Amino acid sequence: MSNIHKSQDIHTRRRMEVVVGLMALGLAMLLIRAVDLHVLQGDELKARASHQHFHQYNVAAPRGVILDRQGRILSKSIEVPSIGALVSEIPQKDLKSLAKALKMPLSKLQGKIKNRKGFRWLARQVSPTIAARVAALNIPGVRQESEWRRYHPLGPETGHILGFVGIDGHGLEGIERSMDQRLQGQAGARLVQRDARGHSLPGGVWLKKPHMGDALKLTIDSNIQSIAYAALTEGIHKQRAKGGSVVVMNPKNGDILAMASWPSFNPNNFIRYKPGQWRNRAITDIFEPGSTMKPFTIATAIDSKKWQVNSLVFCENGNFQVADYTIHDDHPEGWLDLTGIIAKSSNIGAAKVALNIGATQLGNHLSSLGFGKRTGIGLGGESPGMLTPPKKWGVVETANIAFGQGIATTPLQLAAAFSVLANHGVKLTPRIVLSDEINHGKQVFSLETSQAITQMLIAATSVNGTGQRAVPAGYHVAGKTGTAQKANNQGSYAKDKFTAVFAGFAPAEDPEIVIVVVIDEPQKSIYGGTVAAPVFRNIAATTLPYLGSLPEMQNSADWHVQQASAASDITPAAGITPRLFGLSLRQAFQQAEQQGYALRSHGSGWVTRQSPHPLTALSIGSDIEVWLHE
Amino acid sequence: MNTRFVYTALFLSISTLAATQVWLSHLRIETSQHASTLQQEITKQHEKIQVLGLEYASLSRPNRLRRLAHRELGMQAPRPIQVLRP
Repeated sequence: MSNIHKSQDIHTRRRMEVVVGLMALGLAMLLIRAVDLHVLQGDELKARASHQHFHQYNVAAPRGVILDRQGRILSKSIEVPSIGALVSEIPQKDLKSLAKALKMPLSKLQGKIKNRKGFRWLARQVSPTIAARVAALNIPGVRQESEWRRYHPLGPETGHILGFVGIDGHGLEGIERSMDQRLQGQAGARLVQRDARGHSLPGGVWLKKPHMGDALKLTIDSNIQSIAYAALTEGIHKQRAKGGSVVVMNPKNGDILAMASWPSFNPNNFIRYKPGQWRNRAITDIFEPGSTMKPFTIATAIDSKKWQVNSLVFCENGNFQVADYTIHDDHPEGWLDLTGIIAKSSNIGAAKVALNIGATQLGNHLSSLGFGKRTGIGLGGESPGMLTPPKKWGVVETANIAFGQGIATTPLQLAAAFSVLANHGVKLTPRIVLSDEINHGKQVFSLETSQAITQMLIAATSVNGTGQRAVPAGYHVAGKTGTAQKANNQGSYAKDKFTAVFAGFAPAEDPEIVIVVVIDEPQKSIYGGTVAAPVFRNIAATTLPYLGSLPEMQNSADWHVQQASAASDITPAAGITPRLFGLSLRQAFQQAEQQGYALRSHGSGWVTRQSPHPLTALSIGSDIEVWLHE
Repeated sequence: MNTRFVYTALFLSISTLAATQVWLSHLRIETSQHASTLQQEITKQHEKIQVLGLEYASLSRPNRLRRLAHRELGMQAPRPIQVLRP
């Protein structure tokens, strides 16, 4: 009996020992696991928990604003909604209504999410109306995010200068591209708490605040830009030209006040335009400057001291043989002084002067003026132009380059070169970003030479000069016309394709602006004096008073005629456009007919606008166009 | 008697402090939400200012003003004969 009890006790004790052992083992395992979780994996698990409770996301910063020299906004970023979605969460039945709200074909929407997983943009940078419509649908998985979108309030007028920004916020053309690094903001990071479902809770902390990009102030004046763009557009439409460009520059400090190109494009909707229209022709397109090169040839000659202003050149009565090549003048001339060569635009005169001073001297001066080199304005895509080294010039090349053939320039380079003449012979680097730094120049021509050339250029725009249509009443203009044949693909000149140019500065006595007008392939006329000069006049006539340079009575030779015409009904002399402002259609017809002109009218009421302007030269039998308004 | 009073006072003090702490906690949450709402409102107004600035720049662009002055008021750019230095 006692043996049975004894064995039962042993059995019970063994079982208890096993249970205690198992419990001890369990506790030991728990302890090990606790040490493992807290000590060995503690940091990693803490990080995972934190990741589940907090969400960090990047916040894009807006690009810096671009302003004109008066502080007007030219380009600015604002936040706009974009629609995205977690593709797997969108119910198929909602796709139709979503496509309708997004104003997108259903097939396009289906294409965007087909075979996709995770987040996907459905429509970026949409209007607030579309965003509100999508939000109202409350479709699971579809969400709204904010993105920065760039706007250019002046649209096509500043399109070529500013360029545009891609959907990812990087500049793709123009200033937006060349100054991208400066304009780019610094993205920030924000930490928000999430609830059990993973939704973000309100509030949160900035880990790093986003910083807006630097503001950029340009030398452009939006008023002058608008004037230049309007004048260029009108000139191109009148001539049914293929394209054109205008550069307006302050010769005293190198500031570019306006730079317009045609065809234009709207940078707010750049994708609708052909890439060719994005091109800033004022810096990318090169052309043969033609006769606008002659002032620099003559200036080099005077600077060489071999030639005086009153030196005479025999212009061979229109034909001059250089090696196996014959140079022609449109208007055959005999003896001309240097002023006469500029005023009459004699190719032979310029060629003879150049051959006398030699290729090296002319080439070095043209190089110093900036031909054949980028101006350094800091805009992408700028062409260096074309100027072969003078050691490669033969006599034919030297003669041709003297009157602007065999050399190619951009409108900006030509404006910078004319600025040298307007700025007492000192060359300044053109600049488009406003800066307090003084633009140190380099003396290319002496003061006396630049003054002499200015007088010659005034003669070129006088009544007997080729550029008379460039002069607004009350001012003196120093400028030069140019007409150049365009090269074709066969390496020769196209017979029916021309570039008409006018380059000059005003007021000639104390230049405020240098203007270069280039019209590409004009159809109604080919001459710089009839195609580009009127565009110059229109820009100068409006810009100079705006800059505080008012017209003066003594600067206008026919001022008394103008004054009388404005004050009374005295009929102007034959060959002068009559003033028709304020007349009825019948009165305007009568007056035009009496003067021997045909009248083309638009609208009804009284004449509020006319073209050509009153008192400008107009040959008998020409058309006068009037616009009437009630 | 004295000990009971001390315990009662202690209990009441702890209860009051606890209640105050709960009230302050609620107040803090409310204030935080209010501050957050105000912050959102400020951001919204800033955005509005940005948009209005851009709208102003667009509406006052020289080309538009010139067109409106001509169409609505019959104005022309002054010709040199109208503005001059005698």
